[in-house]
Amino acid sequence: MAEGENFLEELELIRLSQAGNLDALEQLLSNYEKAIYNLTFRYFGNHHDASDVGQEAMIRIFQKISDFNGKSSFKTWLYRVVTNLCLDELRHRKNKSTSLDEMKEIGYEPTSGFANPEELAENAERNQMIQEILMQLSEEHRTILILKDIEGMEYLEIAQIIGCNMGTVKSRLNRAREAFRKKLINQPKYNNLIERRVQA
Amino acid sequence: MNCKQVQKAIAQLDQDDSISLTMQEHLDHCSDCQAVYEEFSRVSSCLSQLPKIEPTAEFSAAWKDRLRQEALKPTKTKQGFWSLITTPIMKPAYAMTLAAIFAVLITGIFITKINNFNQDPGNVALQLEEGATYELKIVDVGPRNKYVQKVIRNFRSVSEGGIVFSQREGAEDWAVFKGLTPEQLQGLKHDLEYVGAKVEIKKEQ
Repeated sequence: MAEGENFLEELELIRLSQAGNLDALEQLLSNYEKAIYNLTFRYFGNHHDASDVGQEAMIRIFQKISDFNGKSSFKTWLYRVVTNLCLDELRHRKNKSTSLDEMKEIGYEPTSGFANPEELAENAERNQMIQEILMQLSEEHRTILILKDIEGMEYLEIAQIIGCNMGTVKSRLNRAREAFRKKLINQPKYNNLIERRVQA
Repeated sequence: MNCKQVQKAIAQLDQDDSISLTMQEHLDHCSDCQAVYEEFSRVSSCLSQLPKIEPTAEFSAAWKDRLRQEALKPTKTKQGFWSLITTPIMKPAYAMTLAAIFAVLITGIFITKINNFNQDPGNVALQLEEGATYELKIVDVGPRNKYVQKVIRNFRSVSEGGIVFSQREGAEDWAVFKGLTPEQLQGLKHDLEYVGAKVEIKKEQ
């Protein structure tokens, strides 16, 4: 189906959803199911939480769909709702101050996040390391890296999602990448990977 | 471009961005910035090359099920006050009820005001006699002490002869004016009450 037709179909689904049509809402959200799951996974780093928060996100969208007014794209609006929900949940958990060991006890398994367990060992190891570093970053830095570098969103879209101007997005991204880089080069695993590549 | 400017620009580069000529010239001659550039390129590619996560098998069914359950819950009406009276079907009923409540409230306020006016001891003195003199006592300064002081000063500066004014700080009768003519009394009472003070009036013998 052409992009224009998709857009019109989405508009119609949004209109029907706002009128209370649950089938239309289900169809609309099914188109974003994977995106929502990926977003929640990057925030929490495991399937258990990604699924729980992802389900909450669907309910939140259902409750707020009538607030969508078309000032931004539906995708941007939806990402804002999901991002805010993830940040709320992270702040809620911060008070509990969960250690990495405790997280593992409740099912935190970064390696289990990747679709194919037979992926090349090096890629799996690298991906796990990146996810772990992401989890160590502040909410602010994590959000900007997820939206810009992982999801590949535009500066304007990110500004609309996190509710600040584009200048702030750029400077925040700058600091987030710097924080990520510092953590990355301090990882023994990272240095091993680089060495292995050089040897290869 | 100096190292600081180059490193700031490097941190803002996107995966597909090409670097400017001046930046390239700097990188060709600066090994520190070249190293930072390579690190950031790695960071960027690490993040952008992360694989997409496949939702668990249960996820799709789980959220759809929860959505259906949520839809069955009684909805909290988000209708505002104005939407109630502007809804065509509800309009006459709500408008009439509203009008009735409004009328009762206005009548109540009006009756209360009349009663208060009649019961106010200060208002007894408003039946003023020509040639008599009156005493006015400030029994409560109210919240705007400064303004009350200002009214008193202003009154004393324009009033002439025959007025005895006593002020005892801390005492219950904070300020008392004696020997006021009916005109003076009316003016002073009005000004004091206007700035929030409560006064008592009595006719002098």
